[in-house]
Amino acid sequence: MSIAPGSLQLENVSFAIGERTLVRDVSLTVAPGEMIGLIGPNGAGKSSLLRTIYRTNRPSSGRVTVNGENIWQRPASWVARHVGAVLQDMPAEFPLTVRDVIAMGRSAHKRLLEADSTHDRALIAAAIDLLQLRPLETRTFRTLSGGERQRTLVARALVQQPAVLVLDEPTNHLDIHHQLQLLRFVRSLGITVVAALHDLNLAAMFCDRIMMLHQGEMIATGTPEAVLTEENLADIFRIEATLVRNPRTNTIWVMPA
Amino acid sequence: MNESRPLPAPTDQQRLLVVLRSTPGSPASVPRAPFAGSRVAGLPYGLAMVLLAGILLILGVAGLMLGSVHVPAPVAVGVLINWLLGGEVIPATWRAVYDTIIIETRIPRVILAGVVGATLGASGMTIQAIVRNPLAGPSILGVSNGAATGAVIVMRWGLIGLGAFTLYTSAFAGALVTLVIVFWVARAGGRMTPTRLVLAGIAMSSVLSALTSLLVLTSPDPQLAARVLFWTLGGFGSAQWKLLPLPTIALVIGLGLMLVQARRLNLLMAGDESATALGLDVNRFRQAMFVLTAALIGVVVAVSGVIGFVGLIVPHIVRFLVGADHRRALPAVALMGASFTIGADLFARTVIAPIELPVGIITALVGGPFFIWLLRRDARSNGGTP
Amino acid sequence: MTFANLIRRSGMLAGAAAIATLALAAPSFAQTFPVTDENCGVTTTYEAAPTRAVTLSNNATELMLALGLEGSMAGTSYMANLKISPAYADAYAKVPILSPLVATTEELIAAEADFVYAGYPDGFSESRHTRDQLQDLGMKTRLNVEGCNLGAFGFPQLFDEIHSVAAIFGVSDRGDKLVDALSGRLKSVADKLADKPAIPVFIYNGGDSAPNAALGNTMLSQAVAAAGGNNIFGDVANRFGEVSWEQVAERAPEYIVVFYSGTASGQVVADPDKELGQARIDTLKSIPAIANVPAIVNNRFFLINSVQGQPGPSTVDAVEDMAKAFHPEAFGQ
Repeated sequence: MSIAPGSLQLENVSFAIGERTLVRDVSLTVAPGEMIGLIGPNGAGKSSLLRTIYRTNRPSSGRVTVNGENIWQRPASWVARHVGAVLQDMPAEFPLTVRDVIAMGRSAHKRLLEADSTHDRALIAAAIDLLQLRPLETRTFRTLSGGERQRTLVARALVQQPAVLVLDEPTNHLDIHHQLQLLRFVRSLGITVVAALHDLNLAAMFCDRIMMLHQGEMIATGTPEAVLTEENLADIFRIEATLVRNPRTNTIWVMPA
Repeated sequence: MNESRPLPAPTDQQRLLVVLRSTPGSPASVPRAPFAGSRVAGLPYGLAMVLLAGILLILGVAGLMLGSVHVPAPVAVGVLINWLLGGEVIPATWRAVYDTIIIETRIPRVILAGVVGATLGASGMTIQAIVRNPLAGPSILGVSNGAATGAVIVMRWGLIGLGAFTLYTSAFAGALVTLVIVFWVARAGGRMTPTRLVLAGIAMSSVLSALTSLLVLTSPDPQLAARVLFWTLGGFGSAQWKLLPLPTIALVIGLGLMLVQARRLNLLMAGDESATALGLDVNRFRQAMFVLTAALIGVVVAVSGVIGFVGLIVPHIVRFLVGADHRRALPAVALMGASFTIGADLFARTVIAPIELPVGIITALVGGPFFIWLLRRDARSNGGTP
Repeated sequence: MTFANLIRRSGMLAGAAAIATLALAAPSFAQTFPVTDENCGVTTTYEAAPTRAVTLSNNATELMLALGLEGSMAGTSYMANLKISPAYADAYAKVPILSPLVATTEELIAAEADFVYAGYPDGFSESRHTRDQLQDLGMKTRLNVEGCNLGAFGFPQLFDEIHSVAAIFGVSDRGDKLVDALSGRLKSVADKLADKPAIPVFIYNGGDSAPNAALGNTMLSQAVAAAGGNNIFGDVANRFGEVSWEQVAERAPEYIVVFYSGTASGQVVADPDKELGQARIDTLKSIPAIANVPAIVNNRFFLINSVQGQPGPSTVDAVEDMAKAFHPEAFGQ
């Protein structure tokens, strides 16, 4: 038996803190296995929207469902078993080893007094090997480089065995080589993915569909070609750009003027 | 992903992915290689625990041998063996008072010091997880001062409601009242964040400290200041057998509860956002753990006064030895906290005998410089920014 | 002194007289026990007089020795490097000294004490041993009522203390005699001072940036009053407290009683008379604010340490000495 990729649905999701509305009436349907890129200028609400998916922000209206279940009607542990979040970084005051960090991902699957099982150990070992973390296994998280930390957090999300994987700007701390490597890797997993990306071309390269956000509102959703138009780029990102097709990847490429 | 190494070969990756997507019991989920232990300083966990237990044993026995009355070592061992095995296994060729001294004063004293030390260590480690700061200690919750104030109030007005246990009860009551107030203040808006908790605890500590000083200064009793000093510096001089059951039960229950929640404590170390994403109800859990640790500290301060730095320093050393995973670190911190406190008490009552220093002075003299060293090493490893 | 010794030493006739005396005394002797002592919140019943008493302070020691109880004592403590009053020196030498500081629980156990008497309020505390703790170890305890009576402590309270302790040991007659003797001496002093106006006296207990003074509720204050002095801070109803040099200067004492103990910061001082007593006099002389006070100008200092200054039988010695110092003319000097 194997864990299948899940479906994700956002139905008219709004999120506000006090008077400020950070996300306004966003709807999105993500099919199992799809990789969705979330783009938009700073302050567009990408992170806030992602937080509604991994159950940190409670929508002020609308609902988020994973595999048909409303995540706010399920306990936090259920959501952790179905949604894996790769955040930008993790506080590192304590001497947690890479293995300690990855092992955290299994918590949602364990009952209170349950010890680690063979299955848990197999998953952790597989994640370590998959992300090339074996030589770093006993290093403390604090001593890792940005890229190594990122891989550790991805590994942690993977051992959650999520149906949906959420990534919040995963390429921020990485150089171009590692940015490509990471996204290629994520793509190859076959899980349903929602990733906030600031690099439009990477989004176009790796995502099945893109959603463009601006001031909390959904501006456009669709294939990269459909969303990344000169008009949208001018209106939302306020840049003059020429759009070409990348001859190697056959994906749309934004060239700012 | 590594700078020089390529991705695993496609078939390898496929196999690993299959493992990752497998459910328990499926043939794929068998680990290929044994994993390395989660240790930082290179000590296997089992060995570390044996060492810690050994140190505890040695210090415990030393604590029975030394005191203000000189009891020859063979006699002390004889008394101990007779007591443990019941009856006169070793012929008692010594004065009966030696039996009394060791059995009625030293053994309870060593046990109390051990129980208090273990409780402080475990509570300190848990508090550090709750406020996500390895430089925090039990005193930041404010309940230590609350217990001291409760005791001072009784001493100030000479209240004698419950006989011998009046002072201990009122100290614990003071801790509980402080617990409730800090809880209420820190929980503003329904969420208890680490910062708010620390600030509430510190604010409450200051208020209580000032209150205690005021009570002492306006008291007609010139001895009140000296008695209050005991509470603020701690000591095990009044250890008796009948004082032991409550703190021991509290330790067993408290440590047990912490161990049960060890996985969740691990999650807290990853930050509130990660912990929530990993399935923890951070707010509720933090509140529950606060109540648990504050109650435990209340019990400890009530019986032995405020003993600082144990809950701050010992968790650090233990994490260095066996790693930060609470499932392993908590039992270790209990052992080491007990050893540290028994050792400090031993030193306190022998270094300038016959004068008995308060235990809190020794723990502060050892812990203070260590804490400063920690702060500086922390700053250096973070590139100069604290 | 045992009954057998009495016979042998005094000879048959004296022995017969002694027997007769004891026979007369026996009924009242038998009636004194059991004694119930209600003391500072602890009620203790004594079926018989304790035989291995240990004292935890020098005033407690002297009180017991003044009652002739050295035969019932197993040890003394907390004399530090002070000296016992000469009147009791011989008896004191017969009792083992357990510690220069307060005897620890272990030392009490080793001495097989059955009665522990603290003369200072801090004798029983959580840091050393509580009364309850000692009770569980088979030791009955008594705390000089100065420890729980927070009001004024003077000679009436001291005499009550003597009576209480005497009753515990079944020597109430000796208690009565001691109180009579002490009262007599006080009265004699009072008579001589009958028409003398009280001189203002400052009772100094150390401190240089701000002086610590013995206030109105202390035994010292009452002793000074009995000696024909008037404690300039006697109007404050407290034991000890910090005052100011300005206040001292304003109240212009003619005599300064310098009080000191045998320990400083919990440590035994090697030569308390010099290191604490004389040092405090030197301090007083160095304070500019009080330089013009009569006591400083005329070099009128009276040193008294805790042996006499804490409530005990030798406090009366101090009264006599102070009276002679304050009003020499009344004593023909």
